[in-house]
Amino acid sequence: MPPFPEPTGSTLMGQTGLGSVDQAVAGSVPLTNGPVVAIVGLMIVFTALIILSLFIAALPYLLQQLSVIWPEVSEPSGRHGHPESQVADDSSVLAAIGFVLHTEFQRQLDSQNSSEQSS
Amino acid sequence: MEILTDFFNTTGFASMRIGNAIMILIGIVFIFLAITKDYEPLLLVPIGMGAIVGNIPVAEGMALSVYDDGSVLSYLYFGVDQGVYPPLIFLGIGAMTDFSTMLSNPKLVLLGAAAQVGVFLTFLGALYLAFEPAQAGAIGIIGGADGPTAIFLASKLAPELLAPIAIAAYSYMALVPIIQPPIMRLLTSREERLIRMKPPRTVSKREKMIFPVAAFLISTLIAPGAVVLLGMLFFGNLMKESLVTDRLAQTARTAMIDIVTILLGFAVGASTQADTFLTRESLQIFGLGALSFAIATAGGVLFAKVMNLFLTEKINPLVGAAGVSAVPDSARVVQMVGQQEDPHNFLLMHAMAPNVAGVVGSAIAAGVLWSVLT
Repeated sequence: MPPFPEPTGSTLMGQTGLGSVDQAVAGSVPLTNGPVVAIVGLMIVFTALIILSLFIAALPYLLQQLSVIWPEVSEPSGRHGHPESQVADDSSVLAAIGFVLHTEFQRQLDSQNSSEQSS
Repeated sequence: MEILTDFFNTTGFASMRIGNAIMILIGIVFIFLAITKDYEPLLLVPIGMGAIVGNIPVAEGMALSVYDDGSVLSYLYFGVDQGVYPPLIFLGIGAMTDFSTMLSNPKLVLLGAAAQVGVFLTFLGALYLAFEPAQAGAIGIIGGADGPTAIFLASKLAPELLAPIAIAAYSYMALVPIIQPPIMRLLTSREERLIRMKPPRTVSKREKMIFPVAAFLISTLIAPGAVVLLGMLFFGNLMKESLVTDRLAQTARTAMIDIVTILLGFAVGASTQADTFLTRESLQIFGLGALSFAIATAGGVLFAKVMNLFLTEKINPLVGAAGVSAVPDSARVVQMVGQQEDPHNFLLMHAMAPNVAGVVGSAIAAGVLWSVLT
């Protein structure tokens, strides 16, 4: 059986973003071989998703407490979205641009005609 | 006559090798499967056409292939090679994903973690087959059943294996309806497949808005290697749920993800040149990929059965198979297998919870492997 990878000097806990935990337990899980990487890697995935799961479970209760000081309105202001966030209504925009261009060209044409007549 | 001979020598016919012909044939099979069997057509058509394009032999000195500096295809391939496209696809996935079912039944999140057992067992299998640790990590992530994640990690850990890993990941994602059902039936009894689950509760808008930011912080503080993929995934979801960036979310989940999918699929296909793709390692990767998918499916189903030992409200164990993150195909497979036993049992919404949790889980697994193996 081929050998598992040699130690890299890194630690699995050292890969987390929790700096203080990293400092505290650095060296506790040396990367000596593949099975350790696999088991601890799977544990990290489970830990992350268990914490996520607990957070999701607690979220309704947290929001219930929050709603005492900051009630959730039944018709949130964001329901219809910020006007600028809406998907563009291209046809009405194009119609407006067309109208402005037409008016402007008409005005230029009229002024050109009047200047020709006067000369 | 000499001119004609010289011209013939510059054509693809003269330098065509058997390997190129095989790869062109594989490309045609991909397109055929996409069109006639509807297997992941949005991916297999670009990959299949890319494989055909990438295997036309060109005269020496002409910079045409993805591996030639300065060629047009090399610029398209840059997004694959440097891992640019996968996070952009995650942005689009986030903008189209509804996490409501997961928020309404948080215990199903654990099934998304259980299915990642396929990633780590395949990692061990690849080490056993004498792959380098970094290559083994990139191969293992095929079991996450997430094409963009597989490409992202392969580009970081084993760029030399990127083409076979990407093709294996996407091929097996397309084959989810064939690979998963036998394993699901084998590991469950008829009584278990008939279990009906309580309808999910209604989730408030505020929960949906808070979730992407909180989930990002929790996940990436534990596995910072996943910051790029999960950052884009949850950013996309925040755009969707915040209700004030409809236009951005709309673009991310339609035009942008389509453009990136086209570029990614075509570039990956074009990278499957016979001389780099038709190797013993590629065959091993395909074998390990199939094993990885099977283990991931079994892991999710068996973990659901273990959870049932402790739960009063039982989970239909079929839902565990959706822990592999092939969204939404594996959830559809759960629905299909469940309805074969009971046509009035609707498992799709329940299966979406471990399915999206699987996306998060495989991204975390990729982050862990990237951090540890570089």
